[in-house]
Amino acid sequence: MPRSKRDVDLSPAKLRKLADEELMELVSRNEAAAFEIVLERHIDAAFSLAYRMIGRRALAEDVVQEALLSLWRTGARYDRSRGSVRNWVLGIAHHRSVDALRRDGVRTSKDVSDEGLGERLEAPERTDAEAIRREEAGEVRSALEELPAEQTRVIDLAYFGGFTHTEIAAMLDLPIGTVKGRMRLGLEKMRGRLSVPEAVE
Amino acid sequence: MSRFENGCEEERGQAAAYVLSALEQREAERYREHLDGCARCAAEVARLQPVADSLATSVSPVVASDELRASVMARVRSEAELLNAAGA
Repeated sequence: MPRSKRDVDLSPAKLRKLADEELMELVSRNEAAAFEIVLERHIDAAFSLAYRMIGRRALAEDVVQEALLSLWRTGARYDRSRGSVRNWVLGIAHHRSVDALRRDGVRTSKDVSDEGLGERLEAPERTDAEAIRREEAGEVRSALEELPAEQTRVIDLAYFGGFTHTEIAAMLDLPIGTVKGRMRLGLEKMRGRLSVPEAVE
Repeated sequence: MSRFENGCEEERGQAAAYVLSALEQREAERYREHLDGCARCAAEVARLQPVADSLATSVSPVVASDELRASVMARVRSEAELLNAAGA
């Protein structure tokens, strides 16, 4: 494999000590080794999200592959003032998953809970950071589940189901304004529960 | 539905629908443009976006396959070689 002029500085051990934001600077200079560390850190989270939304392993893998390649190709556009690399990666994965759901119409036949046990592949809890993340994930799930059911429903259908407000309104036989109102009330309530920090502007 | 008072005609729930990706594609593009000129909606999106982001990390963890990692990295490495060879 041809070595680039900067290879000397880019051993995986050194790269692993860098923050995501620093790695993204290297990624914007086409450093594949730096991208590999970003990928290691976030691919499971991206796949978990895509799999939760799409419910089929092969299609979720396609979506995550597209999302990560888009991250690699547009890495130069990453702007740290607009949030963490993790949220950026997950935002791309979410967006691509919504596209896949709307495009391929896979929604009717998906059912994550009915898939074979071999598909479930629970991630082991490997590190303290991972344990903290799981705890936070649990808090978000509780915050969502403890909303009035009508609010949980519209948020779930939109965010995880990829349905538009128009589709949701038709599905639930409600005016569009009511659907959006429930989304807003639900997110506001979750925000209070989760003590989300004020956005830095 | 109540609307903002600064002359903005958007429904109050529009920001929530936007951060949840519940707008039609064209509607989302139009709203993104609106955000450039409407501080009130932009602030609402900024308030609600972190909540939507938190949903992404709330799902049950599953492990991506080694094949997926390898396949992405193979593409990345070959593109990097081409770009570096081209002196980019």
